[in-house]
Amino acid sequence: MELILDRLSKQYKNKIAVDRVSLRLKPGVYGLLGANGAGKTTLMRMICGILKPTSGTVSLDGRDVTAEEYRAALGYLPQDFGYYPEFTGWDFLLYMAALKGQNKACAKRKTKELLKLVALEDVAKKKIKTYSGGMKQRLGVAQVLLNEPQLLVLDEPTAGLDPKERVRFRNLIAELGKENIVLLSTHIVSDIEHIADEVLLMKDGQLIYQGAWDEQKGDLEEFYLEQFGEEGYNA
Amino acid sequence: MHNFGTLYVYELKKICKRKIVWITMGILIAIAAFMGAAEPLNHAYSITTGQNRVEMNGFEYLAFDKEIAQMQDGRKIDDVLLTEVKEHYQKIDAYQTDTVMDEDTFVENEKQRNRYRRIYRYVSYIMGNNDAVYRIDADTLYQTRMENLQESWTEQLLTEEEKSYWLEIEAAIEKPFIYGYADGWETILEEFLSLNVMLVLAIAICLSAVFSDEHLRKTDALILSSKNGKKSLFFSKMAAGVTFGLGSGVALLLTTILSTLWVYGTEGADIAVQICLPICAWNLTMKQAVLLMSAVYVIAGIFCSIITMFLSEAMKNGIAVMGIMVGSMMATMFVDIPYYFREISQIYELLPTVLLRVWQLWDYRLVNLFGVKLTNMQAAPGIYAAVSILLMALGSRIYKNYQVGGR
Repeated sequence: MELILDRLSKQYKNKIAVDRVSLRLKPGVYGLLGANGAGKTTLMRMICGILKPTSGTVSLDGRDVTAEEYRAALGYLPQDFGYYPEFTGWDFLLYMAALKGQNKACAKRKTKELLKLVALEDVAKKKIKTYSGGMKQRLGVAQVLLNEPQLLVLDEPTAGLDPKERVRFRNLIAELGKENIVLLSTHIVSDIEHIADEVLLMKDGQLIYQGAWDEQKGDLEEFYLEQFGEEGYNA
Repeated sequence: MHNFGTLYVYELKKICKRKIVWITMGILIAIAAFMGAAEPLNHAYSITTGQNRVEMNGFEYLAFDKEIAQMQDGRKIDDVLLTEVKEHYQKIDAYQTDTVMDEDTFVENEKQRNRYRRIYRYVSYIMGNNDAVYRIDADTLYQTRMENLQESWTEQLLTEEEKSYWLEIEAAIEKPFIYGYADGWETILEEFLSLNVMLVLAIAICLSAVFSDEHLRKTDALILSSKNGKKSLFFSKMAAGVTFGLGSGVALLLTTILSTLWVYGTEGADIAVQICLPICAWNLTMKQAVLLMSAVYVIAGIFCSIITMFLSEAMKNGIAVMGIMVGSMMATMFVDIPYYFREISQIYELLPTVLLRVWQLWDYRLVNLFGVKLTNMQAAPGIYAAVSILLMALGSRIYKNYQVGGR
């Protein structure tokens, strides 16, 4: 399995948000780091097929990003997204499962499993509008996993999670990364240090670093701050 | 799996679970239920003749009036009846006495005094003269009605071909007309305009957010990146919205029909529409006229639902869509394009918020659709279907190509 990004660019009027990014990603966890406005979210949106690149291509095992089969293999957790407040957690996951093409029996089974996994089974029948921020984020994580995706794109997945939940989530990601491609962006460098097999560093729309990070290379946080200076502190 | 059915159910749930939907529908259904009883509820009557006077509430008066109206039920409006009417009105002063009567006797006296008043009004309406009843015969009455029709045709700039079309239909209408009390059905026909206003309002409020809310709530990124999010979901949303439009339309219609018939009675379903709408040239009974208007009303509701949802996706702003729908509906309540501008006026009459006016039943202009001549009400469903398909195709394209960016 391989995700290929070939000279992917996105230009808005006079600003280049993503500048000729080329990547070949095999199963594993990839941590995408960068300051605000570095182009991480734009890149992720293009990988998810919800933002058309100005140029370049994205494909997963030969399936183009615009194809239904591509989306069938995708699990996406946007950075800032809404829910249907009148839906219960149970309804929301069943709805998302239908969107992801699952039949009713399979959807119910997966929903049950995932609600347990993200520790929301007790509040499954409660309306989402009564959920806390962390609960909503966990529900978001659950919907990503509904279709057992081969490609997981997670934009700031640990935002809103408490330290305990964050550790649980890191373990889950590490597990998923064994057989799937997991691309996650975060501002929390320690998240990347703990779970990412490879680090992707973006600055001004360009990929300035790609590779595994180990202790011999020093402290990732220091390296990050070195690259971004003041921007890094604000990120 | 494309899961159209499951997605459709969830989309319907999304629409129906909004509080504003329940509030809006609750209020509108209450208004629809009240509409039928509005006349008797809002009015009280006082009947005075000579030294006698009786007060009645709206419902008592309705029963009184109905009894009077039904005195001539089933009678042909021919020379025999018209002679009776003439003779009755020549000696009507005999009923006006200074003798003080008890209430029951007075009411009975009033019923007898007014027993021909519906026929009197009918003749006066056609002849345009309150005294006509004293010198009328059946031939003159029907001849004058025909002249009124032809006058409308001239006013509406009908072509010779159109005139022949209507003459043919007119010839098939059985005469003399048979009189019957049909106030319930007549009231329903008049209520279609208000019903349509309520339905457009319900659709504008409840469906304007179907697509725009996904963008506003930022759920668009989730749905558009899912397997069925780009194609199946669009049509599931459209189907759910159409179901809502249809359901709320039928609910408002049934409430109005039932409440109106409960107040006025179901009598007169099979009398000719010309008894209530003298210059209508359609060969219909009252029941058929109500059915025809009901069908057009429901189809117009479906069409408005599709327009609203298309705008919801195109504009991505529910409030703006609501403004456009309600604003254009209100504009059509004040704007009337003269017959002189025939093409523009005829296109205007095809708008869903204009088509449900009862006077469409005497708009004789025909629409030529691929060589077939149709009245506005016959042509509208086909035109609405074609425009709906176009809007669905365009809406689907806009939806599919939406770019999630700049947040």
